[in-house]
Amino acid sequence: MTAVSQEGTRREQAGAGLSIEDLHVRFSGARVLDGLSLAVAPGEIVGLAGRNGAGKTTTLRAVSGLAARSRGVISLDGVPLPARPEAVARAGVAHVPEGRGIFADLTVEENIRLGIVRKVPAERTLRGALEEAFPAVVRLRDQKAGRLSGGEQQMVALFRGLIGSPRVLLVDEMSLGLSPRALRTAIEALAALGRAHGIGVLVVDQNSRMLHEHCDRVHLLGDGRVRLWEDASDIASAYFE
Amino acid sequence: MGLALSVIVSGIAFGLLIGMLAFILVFLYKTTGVANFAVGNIGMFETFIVYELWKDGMGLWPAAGIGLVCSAVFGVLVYQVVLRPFGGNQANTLVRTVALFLLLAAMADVFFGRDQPYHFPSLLPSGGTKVGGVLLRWSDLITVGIVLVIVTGFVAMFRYTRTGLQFLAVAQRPETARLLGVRAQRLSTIAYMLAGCLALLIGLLLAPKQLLFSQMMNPILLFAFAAAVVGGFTSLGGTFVGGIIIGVATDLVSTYWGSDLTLASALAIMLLTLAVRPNGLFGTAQVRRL
Repeated sequence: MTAVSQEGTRREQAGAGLSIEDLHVRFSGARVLDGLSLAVAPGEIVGLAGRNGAGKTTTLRAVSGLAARSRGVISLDGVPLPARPEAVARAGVAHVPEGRGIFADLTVEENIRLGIVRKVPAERTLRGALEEAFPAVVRLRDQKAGRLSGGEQQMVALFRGLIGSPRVLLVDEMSLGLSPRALRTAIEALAALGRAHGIGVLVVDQNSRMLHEHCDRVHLLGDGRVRLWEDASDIASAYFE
Repeated sequence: MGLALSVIVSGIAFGLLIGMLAFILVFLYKTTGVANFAVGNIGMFETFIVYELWKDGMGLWPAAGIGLVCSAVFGVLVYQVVLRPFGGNQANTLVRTVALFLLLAAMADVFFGRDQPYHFPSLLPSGGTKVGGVLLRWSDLITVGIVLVIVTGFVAMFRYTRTGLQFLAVAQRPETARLLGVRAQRLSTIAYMLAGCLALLIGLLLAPKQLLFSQMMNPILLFAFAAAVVGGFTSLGGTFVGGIIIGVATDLVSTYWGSDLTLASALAIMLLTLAVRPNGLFGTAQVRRL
């Protein structure tokens, strides 16, 4: 089976992509993450589900350096990630934050230009592929981003996250503001681009059905750790156990 | 009528200086998170340095040039030595800027203040021209020109350079900007460097008009605060509009009703603006869209 052989290839290049090991995060004494381990290989799209307050956003913030970790190693392609957010971004981790982080007073194009974090040759940016995947963003290029609808802003945020060819893309609340159809288009584009360009994608969302449908794997976050969530239909025990 | 128009023109020139100081306050506030009122005294201190160089026999322009370099270095030092290393919350930083404000005034008194106030030579030509019965001073016209050039420079930087775009990003969403690889501390350093230079420029343009002494920036700092509030404390362009409103109004008040009322009139305008538009003329309410 292809799935199995793909899995094998991934095992072989262990260490490639994003790897989180034994991550602990505390907020004023309270344990939010308690030994979380998770890996995202290049080209893989991984879902992270969990109820409100389980620590999904904190996991992404810890990777980006916005939340301080008290223990654990986070590495990219085998190299430990720095602690400062701007350095993490320059190392190749793009992060679409909670609430999208759109600069409302800047135009769509200016928002996108800010996504080119590292100096990459023009042909290595994903602009062409992204313009194909998100035609609406091209149409809105000169608009002030604050005037866009929530769904359009989410497209801009994804576009901005990918344009600099990151190694890993973190997306917080993927479905926020997107209609079911726009969500499907967006996540299919995300998965396709990720596979084509070897970008690992970690998607956080409440919508576990969507994650199961589109992700290579889905993890469930609870009690500060994750476990693999294999049976998509088993929502009740996943959330209420 | 001729007098009123003359007063308005010089009020605009003064207002643009106020606006420039207000611009520095808002620019620093937006890029570093703290409105550093010590910039007024940074300008005063640097003007003293230029004065000392000039008094020791150096030409005024070379002295101003050296002053400008010192100002850039001084701005960087203020950020790197006084503000950055200790981190802390905003209240903590605010207290440090107040301490710096007082320290600079005290140091100016100690080092330069024996015989203050001093007459400061003007970089700009004296005299003026009459257009339709309205006296226009060269110094006012050149001041307007200088400020326009600086504003154009900033607009160009914000619009056409990557650093400028990053300034705007940090000002709007510091956290997201860092996620996009923006080195906020480097930008803050640049911001303080620019602020130091602009503060000197304000000092050089202001000192010939109203003498050089350690407290010379206090009134204009209050005007600038009022202007920034009138413009909406978060609007960079609004600071200049606020400055012109305050400058013209206070000039008219001091010409017709006496100079005792200038400060009161500036604060009255500020309070009136806040009563009608709580976010100032161009400020935006903090609204989050979900």
